[in-house]
Amino acid sequence: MDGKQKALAYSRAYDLFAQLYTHGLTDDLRPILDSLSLLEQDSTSDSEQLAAQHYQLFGRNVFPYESIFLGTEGLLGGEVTESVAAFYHEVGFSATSHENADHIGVEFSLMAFLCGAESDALADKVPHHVQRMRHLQRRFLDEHLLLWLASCVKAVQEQGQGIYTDIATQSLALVLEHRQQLGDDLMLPTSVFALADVPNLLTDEKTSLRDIAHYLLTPAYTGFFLSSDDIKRLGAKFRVPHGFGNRQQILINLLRTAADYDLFEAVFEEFSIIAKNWLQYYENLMLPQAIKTPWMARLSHSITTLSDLRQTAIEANTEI
Amino acid sequence: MSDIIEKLLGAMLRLEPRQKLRKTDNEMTNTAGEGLPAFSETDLKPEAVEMTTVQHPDGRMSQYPPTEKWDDWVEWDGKLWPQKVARRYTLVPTACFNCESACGLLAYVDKTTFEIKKFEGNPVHPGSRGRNCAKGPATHNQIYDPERILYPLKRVGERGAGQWQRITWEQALTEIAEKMRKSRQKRRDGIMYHVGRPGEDGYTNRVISAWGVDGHNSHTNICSSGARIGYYLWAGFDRPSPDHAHARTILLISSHLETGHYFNPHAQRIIEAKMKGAKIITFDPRLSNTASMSDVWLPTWPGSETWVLLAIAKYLIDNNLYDREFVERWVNWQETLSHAEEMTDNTDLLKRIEAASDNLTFDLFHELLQDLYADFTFERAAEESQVPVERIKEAAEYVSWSKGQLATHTWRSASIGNLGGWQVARTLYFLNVLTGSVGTKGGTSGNSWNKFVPTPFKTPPAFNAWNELHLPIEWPLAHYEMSFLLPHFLKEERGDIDVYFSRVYNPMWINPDGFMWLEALQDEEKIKCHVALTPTWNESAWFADYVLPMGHAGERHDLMSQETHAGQWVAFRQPVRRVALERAGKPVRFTYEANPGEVWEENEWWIELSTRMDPNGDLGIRQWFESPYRKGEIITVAEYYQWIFENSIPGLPDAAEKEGLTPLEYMRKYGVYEVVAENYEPYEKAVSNGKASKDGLIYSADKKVTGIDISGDAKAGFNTPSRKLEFYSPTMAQWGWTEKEYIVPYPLKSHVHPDNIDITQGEMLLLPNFRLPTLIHTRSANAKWLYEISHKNPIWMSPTDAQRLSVQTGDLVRVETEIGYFVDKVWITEGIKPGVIAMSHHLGRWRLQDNQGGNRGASNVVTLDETGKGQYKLNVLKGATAWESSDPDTSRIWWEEVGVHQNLTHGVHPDPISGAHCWLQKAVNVRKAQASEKYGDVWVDTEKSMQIYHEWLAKTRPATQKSPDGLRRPLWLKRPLKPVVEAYKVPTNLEVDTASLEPQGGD
Repeated sequence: MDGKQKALAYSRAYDLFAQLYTHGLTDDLRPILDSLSLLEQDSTSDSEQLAAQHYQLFGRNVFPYESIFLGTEGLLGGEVTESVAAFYHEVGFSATSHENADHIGVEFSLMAFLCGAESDALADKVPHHVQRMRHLQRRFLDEHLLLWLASCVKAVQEQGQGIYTDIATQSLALVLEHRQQLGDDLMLPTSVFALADVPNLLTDEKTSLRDIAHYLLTPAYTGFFLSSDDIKRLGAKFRVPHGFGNRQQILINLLRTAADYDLFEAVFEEFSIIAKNWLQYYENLMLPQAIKTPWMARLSHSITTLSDLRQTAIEANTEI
Repeated sequence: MSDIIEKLLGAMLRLEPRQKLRKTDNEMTNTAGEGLPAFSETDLKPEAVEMTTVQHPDGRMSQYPPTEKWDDWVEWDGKLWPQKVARRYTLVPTACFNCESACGLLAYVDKTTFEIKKFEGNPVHPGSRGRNCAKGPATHNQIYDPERILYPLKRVGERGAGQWQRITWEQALTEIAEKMRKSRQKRRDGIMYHVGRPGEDGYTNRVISAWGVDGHNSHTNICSSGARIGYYLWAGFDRPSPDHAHARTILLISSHLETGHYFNPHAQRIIEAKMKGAKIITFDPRLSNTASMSDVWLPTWPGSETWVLLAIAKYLIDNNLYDREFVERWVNWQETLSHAEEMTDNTDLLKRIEAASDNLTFDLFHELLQDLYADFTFERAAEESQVPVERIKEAAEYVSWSKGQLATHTWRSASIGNLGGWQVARTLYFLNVLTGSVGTKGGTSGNSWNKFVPTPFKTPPAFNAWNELHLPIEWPLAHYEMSFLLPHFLKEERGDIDVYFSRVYNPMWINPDGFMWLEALQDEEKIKCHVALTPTWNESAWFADYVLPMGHAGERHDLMSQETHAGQWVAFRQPVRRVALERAGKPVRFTYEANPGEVWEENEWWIELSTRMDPNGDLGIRQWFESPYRKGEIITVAEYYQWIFENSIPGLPDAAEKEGLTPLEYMRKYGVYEVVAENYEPYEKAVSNGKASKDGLIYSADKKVTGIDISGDAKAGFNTPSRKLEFYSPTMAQWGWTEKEYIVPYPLKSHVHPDNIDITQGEMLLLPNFRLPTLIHTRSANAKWLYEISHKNPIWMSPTDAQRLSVQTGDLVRVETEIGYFVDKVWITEGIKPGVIAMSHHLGRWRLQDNQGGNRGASNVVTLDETGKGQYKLNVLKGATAWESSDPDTSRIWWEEVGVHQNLTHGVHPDPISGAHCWLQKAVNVRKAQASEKYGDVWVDTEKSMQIYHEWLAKTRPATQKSPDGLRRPLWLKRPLKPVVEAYKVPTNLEVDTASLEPQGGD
């Protein structure tokens, strides 16, 4: 496989994952995946069920946007999205998807676009353009996609949605492989990748359940991701009602009722277990160290914070 | 490199690329449904131009950008004040779709991002004249609604299980077209298009005709059937078109100033007339905003309106205050006299009429009228209506004062509320006839005179089919399809449906007896495929097989004309992003390419669906969708309208040419064309093409009636068989309704007459069908501004009744109906008649899942359980909640109550003549709720539903027994789509189960 073919192959592979993330495993994509034997799971299940799974996973549980994983607002369309859109603008990429710029599928499409352009430049024998495309690929992976992809993939894996777990895992493998092929040092934004500062929940007297819920639902604070189903599973495990509402609301409900039923400590112990599980995941992952370190540090910090919160709750209970 | 990735990359090289990714250099965005719109900033500054100023006759003034600047308009962004940020827009006219009026809207589309900033009024629209009600600008809410459906969805798993798969339009088209093709190959009554708000004139009807099936079903029988047949029997038009602006007296049955049909265009004209001194009379048991602005408010007991109207008529007749010349000229008084024995027992009068049979005089008719209405004194009317007699006298004075300028209107309210409600329209229009206010300046015209529907390039022929589920044999005069009884018919095994389209229609929620719809929609044997064409989730779409997102106003093409005043106009609804893109040189093939997500429009959908249904043309369908400009090729939506604008709208090509535009460009620019500015008394128009016959009618060479001989002059006349205004209705008599209360304007005893409501036993009258000014059925649920204004529907109750029941404002009340009960809060007010409770019908939306199936700020999360065979219980788990979305406003929702779904508890009441569902309900028990009864509780027994249905079915007189000519229905009566005459014949094998006409069940 020469350089031109390799670039083209990467372009198509990125495009394939872009489609899988955006539309799910549709009938037209299944023969491709079947022929590749890429998936550990049996992909012969009903295509309608697959579509429903896709919607359940990405429409209602793991929101695959960079801003969800790196931002602190829990909202789409903010600063993070804008920085991704600015990158697209800079390189002249116009997404054909209706998703936000920082959707995982769109970010994979951008990589497909850049790799395709590299392949074209190799075919046209324009070396400086080839270099520019490779440079942009490295930049985008280091400044955006690689910073959150591993977390997103882990969040997907936690949902246990069969085929999509495999797809997510393989997409990460592709990106890591590609990044290794591109070589050179990481080009992280603001010289070193750092996650947002964590609010100090313990010392702030105004800390409310809503603040704690927001903290727990912000991967940039905790290092891990909690989906609606994760919260519901937690509720089921401890038989704590979580009520209805959005992710934040059901978590608030769960924390409130956990406090009412003296299960606050147990629930926080469970959050600590989740953080430890994620820490182990990062330890075993072949992720560039400059990206891995901040996430691991954040998870370690979370384990401490959650322990402190648990302790504070115990003390509060004792005082009562 | 790992093996697996190497294998993947190798395989990728062997694939054809899915699509070529290309570089573009624009900054277009399309965030609707997923984010708030962003707008570009321009360095240009707003120009000092002379604005288009509309000086309204009521004294107010509005200013709009001049039309020559619409293509490129710069203005400051008002929301950013005091910063001065200029925005650059292209202004695209379209038409509102939030009610039936089709008011003009002007979309401000950003020239760079192509996002929509706002919708304002279109100053050149002759109906709305630049003004809108709250629902027009709220179109913006609907477009940027974070809960809207953006992509075609297909059901996964059980119907109603709430699992959906996103599919492509191509898949939807292919699969549905195949089902339709199979159905059409074996039958012509297997496809049903069931429309709520048509929002267009004729396009879809043409499509259904092209399919060659009897496939049109409407919502008319829960809306306007009563009024329609009342008007139609008089004059051959089925809607009134009052010329409010020039009236001396305006008589409104219900709250037309704030919520009625054509509310915005009418309200502005009613106030204009009032400013000039017109008197307003309003009949309404509620003290509505309209009633409060009236000179005379008559809070009549529901169903007694005919008594008051005929008392006024008697006053005009007895005092010779009517327009004798007009009545003599245009009413079928000779025919009436020849049937006088059907109306009176006055032997002396009958003898004199018989004696003069060869030379009948109008004086005899005058005497007959006096005799016929002798009992209708003011005092008797006051007794029936429970209104002070002085007010009725005052109203009569104002009517007599109108002198040919009496503007009247009834549409839904009383005429759809009561058994025999169609006589409300008939008795009301009698006052127009008596005062000579028919089609005059300031009088009341027919809709067909003031509505202009242009013809398309090719019209498919009438089909030869009759769908028994639409117009069954029991209702030969129904105006129109018996749509709300569809589940009852299905339960009776009267038929089944291969492909059911519901469009802008939420039948389970809007119809009475909604749990019957629940059963029908769940039954895959009866409704084999349900395709919901809807812009947003609703209760019925939840039980569809395909949910296909169709555009709001500003996302679709339609042509609309409405009889808002004495003139004619045609409005062009446009997909504004598409038009803006095309103006910017960015061609769009299908509207979903320009709309949010993949939201489409029906126009293009029907073309593509129909051609896939008949790809080779062997069903004869494809030909109707071939371009008139490109032989054999499929028409585009632009070509469809291009042909109409070039060929079917008189004056439009010339107007366009004057501006150097093609007719299509002209309509794209202005969004509307005024065909006729003033149109009065068209029945007096001279007719030249035909000859007078012995019967006094004028016939054309092909033996079609074109007019009538009036005093030696050939006149157009009315669209009735006699070409006159039919006081005596031969149609009613011929079809077996021979009693005088059917053949002439006369009261019919309502099912909620005081005789049938025993207040001492806890019974009351439930008035369930009044509108709120800012809401519109289920369409407005996704408009946040509108829902913030109105979101609950408490029970209105008078202090007298509240005292009797020991309830106070805010208490929960349990209302038991014939088939179930509901629980709602009560609002104690002097603004409702004692004995009557009232509740608006727009509210009480619900969904079965927390995050899907309805707007979280506008619907309750409920549980729905079958508590016994055919018995259903709905309990509210929680009301509206705030939630985080791409729109920060959703996190600011402060209200919880979103109303109670009362329609579920309404038994069906099909009027035996009009077919209308008579909405007023007998509340068999009203009491304070017990502790176990919660807000929003609903319980219904559908076995009782069927019992009530059979009780009303027994009131009918089927065509099999009464048809005078072997046909199912009088040919001259309207149908949305008329089949060939052959299809009208009563089939010899069709027998009515007479047992079913007997009331069943019950103790």
